[in-house]
Amino acid sequence: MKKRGDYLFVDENNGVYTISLTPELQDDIGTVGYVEFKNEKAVSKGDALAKLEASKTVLDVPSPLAGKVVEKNTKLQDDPKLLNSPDDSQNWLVKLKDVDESAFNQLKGA
Amino acid sequence: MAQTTTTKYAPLFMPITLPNGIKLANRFSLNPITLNASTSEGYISDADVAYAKRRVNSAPLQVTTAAYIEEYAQLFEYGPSVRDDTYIKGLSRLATAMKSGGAKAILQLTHAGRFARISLKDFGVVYGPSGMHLNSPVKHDVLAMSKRKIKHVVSQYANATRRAIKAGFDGVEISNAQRLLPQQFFSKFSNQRTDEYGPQSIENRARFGVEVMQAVQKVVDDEHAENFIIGFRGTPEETRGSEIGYSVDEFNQYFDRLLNVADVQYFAIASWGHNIFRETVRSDKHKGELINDVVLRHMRGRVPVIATGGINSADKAVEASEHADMVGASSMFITEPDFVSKLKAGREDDIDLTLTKEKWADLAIPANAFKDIVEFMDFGGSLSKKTRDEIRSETNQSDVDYFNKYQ
Repeated sequence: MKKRGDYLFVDENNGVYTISLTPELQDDIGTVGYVEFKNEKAVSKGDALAKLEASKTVLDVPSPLAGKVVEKNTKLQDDPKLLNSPDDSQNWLVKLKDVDESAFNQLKGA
Repeated sequence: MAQTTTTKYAPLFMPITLPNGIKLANRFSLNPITLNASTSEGYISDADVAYAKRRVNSAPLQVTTAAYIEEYAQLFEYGPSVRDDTYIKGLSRLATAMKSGGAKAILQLTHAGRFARISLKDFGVVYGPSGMHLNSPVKHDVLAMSKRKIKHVVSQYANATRRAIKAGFDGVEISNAQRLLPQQFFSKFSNQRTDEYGPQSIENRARFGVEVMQAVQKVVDDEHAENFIIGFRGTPEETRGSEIGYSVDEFNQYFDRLLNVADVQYFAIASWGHNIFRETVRSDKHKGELINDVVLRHMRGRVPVIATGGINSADKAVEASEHADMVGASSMFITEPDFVSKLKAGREDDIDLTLTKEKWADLAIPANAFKDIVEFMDFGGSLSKKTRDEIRSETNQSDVDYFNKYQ
């Protein structure tokens, strides 16, 4: 099930929550040129998942949910522009586990 | 039999009078678009002039692409410059061409601040309101402008205005849009200064832009440039997800401060993205309202508001004009310079935004036009993907995209 929070999509699949950028956030920040993942394994809601340098701004992407980071889209480090793709299989940032299901359910529908 | 304008498009052909009394025949403006066809030093080329000539009847108000006002201000590799008096001659050719059909020609003055990609190549650093360490396209620093540097840039805007007057332009436009330097000062995202140009209050965030406008107005007064048009382009709200760099209300207050020091003749709303003219407010107050409506209501007729961004059909022009005094377009006029005259004559069915090989010469699109900037057209999507790809295929695009490599 796909939901959205803080202008990010959260796509839940068998307990794995994939975080990607919404088109609105993609438009807001412009073409991404640099991605630096944060090292934290466990994140609280609002903690930075990654630092982005994009054509319109520089920002820390805040996690929409608390959880454990189990995978990072390391392809982004060589090709940051993938974050601008409309394709969910390319534009994802991290995957989270151990997410509180009720917190996820409180997010808006995508 | 003379054809007449289709009724629903007639409002677009009502004349409009600017605050200074200048009358424009209809509601269209030709927005700035970067041809990237000037020389590497920023001198106007024959291609720039030919492109402008083909579009003299496109709209009664025409704005040039960004002319950079100093060496540290340059965003586009082959954009025009106005950084010293040697540029006046070429700019005057451009002004003459743009005005030759009766349109008012405006020179857009820009400083790209921390986004001055080409300056970065020359100097290894760029200037902004605040210092930053960045990693793309190469590791570099953004230098926080000293107060002395601020004064220099303000006087560079003033000197550029004097050159525009000498070159015969009918006006200058100070762009505060799209992350150019005045916007970088007004935004809480990019301005973290602790002095009186910092983000502590609207007055302080506005100070740089106000000083620029004041300096521009002073040149216009000193030069006795009668009915000279001082234009303004701005992005009324800056958002980054749920964060707000500034709200529409704050930007409206900013504009009022500019009006206190300069006789601004129009407010063109600009941003990047799809169908900007339909964008709604994201910050709390006015949330969900059309940005253009909020700006228009605030202006109360004091200054005409120009809607732009994604207007590429007659119906969209009408829709946008319901929430603005004028409508502006740029990429639409690349492939259809005769949009307005066709629409006026009731020939909207003949409007053709496609681009084929046979049309290049007639459209006076120079061989290297839009070098590396088709990506900007991708942002807006006003031209179809097919047309954008046609431009890409013909114009020796390098694989260095502006914003893919440079942030």
